[in-house]
Amino acid sequence: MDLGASTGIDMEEQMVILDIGIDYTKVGLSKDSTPRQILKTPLSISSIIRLKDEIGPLTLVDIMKESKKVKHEIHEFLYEVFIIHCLLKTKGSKICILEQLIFPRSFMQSLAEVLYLEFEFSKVYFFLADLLPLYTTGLDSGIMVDCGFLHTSVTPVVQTIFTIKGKKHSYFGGAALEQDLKAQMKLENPGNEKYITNTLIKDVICKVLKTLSRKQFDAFFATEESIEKMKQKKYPLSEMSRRYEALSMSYHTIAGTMECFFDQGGTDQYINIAHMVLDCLLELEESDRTLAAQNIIPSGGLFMIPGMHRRLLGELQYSVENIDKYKGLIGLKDKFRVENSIYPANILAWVGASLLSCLNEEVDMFLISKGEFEKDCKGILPDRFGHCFLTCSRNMEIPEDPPVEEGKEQLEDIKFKVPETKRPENYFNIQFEEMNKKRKELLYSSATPYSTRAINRSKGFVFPR
Amino acid sequence: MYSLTTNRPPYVHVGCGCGRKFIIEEMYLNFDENQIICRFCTQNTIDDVFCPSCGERHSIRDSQSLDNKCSRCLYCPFCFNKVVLSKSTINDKKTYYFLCTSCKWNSVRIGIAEETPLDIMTKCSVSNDSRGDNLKNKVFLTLLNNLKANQDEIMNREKKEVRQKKKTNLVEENKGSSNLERVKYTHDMYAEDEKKRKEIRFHQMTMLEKPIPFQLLDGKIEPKVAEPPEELDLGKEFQIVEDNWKLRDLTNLEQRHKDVYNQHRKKSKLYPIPVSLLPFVTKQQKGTKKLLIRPNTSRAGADDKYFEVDQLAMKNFPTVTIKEMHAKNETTLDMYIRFTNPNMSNCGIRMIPLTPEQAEAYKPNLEFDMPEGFLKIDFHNDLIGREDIDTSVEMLKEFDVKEEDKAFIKDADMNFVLLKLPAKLKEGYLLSKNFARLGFNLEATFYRENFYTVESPIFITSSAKARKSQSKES
Repeated sequence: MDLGASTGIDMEEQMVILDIGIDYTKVGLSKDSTPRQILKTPLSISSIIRLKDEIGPLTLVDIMKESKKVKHEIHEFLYEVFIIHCLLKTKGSKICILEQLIFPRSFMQSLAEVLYLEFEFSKVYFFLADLLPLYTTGLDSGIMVDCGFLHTSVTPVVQTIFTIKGKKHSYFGGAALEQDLKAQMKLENPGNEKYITNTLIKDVICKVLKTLSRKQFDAFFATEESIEKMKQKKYPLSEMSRRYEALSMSYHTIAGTMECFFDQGGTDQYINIAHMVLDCLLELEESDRTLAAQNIIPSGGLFMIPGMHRRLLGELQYSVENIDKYKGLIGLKDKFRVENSIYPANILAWVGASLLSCLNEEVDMFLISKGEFEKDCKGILPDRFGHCFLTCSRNMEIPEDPPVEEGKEQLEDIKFKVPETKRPENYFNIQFEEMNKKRKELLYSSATPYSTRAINRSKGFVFPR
Repeated sequence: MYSLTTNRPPYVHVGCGCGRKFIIEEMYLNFDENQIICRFCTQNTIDDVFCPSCGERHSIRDSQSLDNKCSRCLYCPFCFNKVVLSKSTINDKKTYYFLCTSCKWNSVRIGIAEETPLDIMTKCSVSNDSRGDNLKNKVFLTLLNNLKANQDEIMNREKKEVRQKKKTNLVEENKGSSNLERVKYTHDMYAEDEKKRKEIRFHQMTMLEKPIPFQLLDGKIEPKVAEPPEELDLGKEFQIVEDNWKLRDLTNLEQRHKDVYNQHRKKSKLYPIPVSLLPFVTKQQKGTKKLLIRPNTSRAGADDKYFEVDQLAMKNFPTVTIKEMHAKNETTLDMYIRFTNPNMSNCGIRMIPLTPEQAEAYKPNLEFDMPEGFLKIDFHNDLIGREDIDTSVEMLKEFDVKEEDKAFIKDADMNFVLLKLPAKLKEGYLLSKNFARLGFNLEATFYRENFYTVESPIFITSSAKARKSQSKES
């Protein structure tokens, strides 16, 4: 449904929003509530990652070493997206790219070259995808939990500021889940291993898998008898398609596969999303924890599996009561709130980008125009997000209070003191923000409602509240 | 990727300057620079948009409002063939419904059957909001309004800060007295005010009378937690799970990809999908903007050609095909390569070895003696105006055919040249295990209005198994 047509917004002001994921790509126009197309990303990266046994920080870097090949693939894929699927005019228009912190710079560089030089976009905005789901809640604090194909990450934002020391990350996601599921299905269906293909695994993840609640998990996995009962209960897959006549799945795989995301044993192989969230809360200051815990936003395709929201909440409450490491957070037990958004979890970042792109010129701090890319940056994309979040400073001096003279009382009730936030702020585009500040000073200070004669006369005048 | 050929050999690819390889039918010729280019090296602009099933044309603006889908045509949700409007009498009433002619799916199953065709078309058309995301749009608008209101507040606060910098002297020098009351505004009051503001914002966003989360936080209402039954009967739990879902009812993944937000999870309740529109694309050379493909916008006449092509490479560059490959043993073979002049002009060709960069990228494994000199492919067996032609190359023509090679030349088609190329595989390769890969640069000289030469790399991949030659059989 196109919002632009219904509200009469000029179509020329709309910009393209593109979220390239490793498994799926979402593309659409700004001011729309949902993306136009969700396509499978045909890049060779996704097929290579599926074959890997272990995924680490250097896997993406190794895969993207051949920059020319990556550039060709991106060009061909975006050609199909813009011209065949979305029917867009690319020359001279604007586009938003959702960038992730873990993506290597070589990928973003080749993407930028393709957009500026091949498709000739005039303006490209780079948004940080980890923070965008927060816009869909309307609040300024929260914890974003992103569970996707390649990784699982937790990012905290408190009063509009993101602290990188609270960010938790793990390379365990949909790719590892697919490998686990494949191995289990092969054990359950000996002799029919040739029918267990990637398409079947995808179908099973989307349609069949489910997550147990905390209480169900305690009951079903308590004794070995109940586990064997679950393994004996089988469901044939012939009803899905005739190709899968010979295959079947046990209830243990259906309900137990997702337990790898809520591992109780603390192994290195699996993760526990709730423990990652609690570790993130421990890194924050005590005054900020309540604000963040009251708005936990799950995003990513894996959170569309039924039961994940409920299990995350139950796991958080259980861990805070029973695990010694997190007993300091027991005061937050009743304050945990997992957001149940009206939008599907896999497009939350896209919707956030669509909201952000509708705001006014403040968004230009994320902009790199074609001229800037070619002349100022000399064809090299600047790494704003990494730079600003690692340094975490604006290089500004906070003014100190004037010294109190002896004998005089400090008149606190007169001065209106803004609560001092000593939290470091994010500084994306230094040049833009300094120019913006000067522009605002000129704009606001020149338009005062009082004349200089009135100001001179009314010395000692106190503004009424 | 994105080529019309399958990746099974034998095939002949032509290389582009960007490094990509395609078959000759997919390439264009840049006359200004005498270069063969692929479609990714052209400038593409979309003029208009059309429906592939009904042919109706739209502008890009109209197509965006229709979500890039046709307002009339629909696909069957099971077999993705076009659906047809049909009528019948159901319960003594004339009803119109959608019917798929291939798999016999009909829309009566899902309750879409109306008395007039207009009603049913309006129900299923793209612009109708009956199955749209109305609630999502409302929430989107409220969120957007809240964000803009927050921005305005921040701007007002910044205004006050900038102006107060000038007026701080007034506030500090409080010499005069006034009858006005001074309000003590402390940090606690600020925190309370902010809490109220947040509550109001949340209330506006969720459009509820009583904002629920804040009441829960204050402890006024206890959250309702579903308590489990006292005795957990595993047998009952399994039954509950069985009743809730069935594998038969769930949708296909392809269906989800087509239209994620408007499709039901149950297979029996799927409804038809609107047809996606396709673009009229004009392709131009980068830099000069010379037209390579121009869409035929006039629909008059019997010609249903949507596109007019000016500069296809296959019309202006000799096509290279593999006529035969005979393997003598595991490492040596005879290749018969045919060069065909695509148009009636005069043409001469020359084979040049690959550059080291091209050889590294392609990694050919066949070694052969490159024929030197100029090969003629022209009607009258001579090239007008060229005096530096060296015709001392041994090659097969209709007049010079040996008896053992006569089987390959059937027609008296003068517009081609057949080249016999004995080749040998490099060490470590065997014909039974590896594909034969051959590469060379082809320089072609044409006479159109003037002479022009085009050079392009040719990559041949083929499989040949060792077998007895025809001469031994005969």
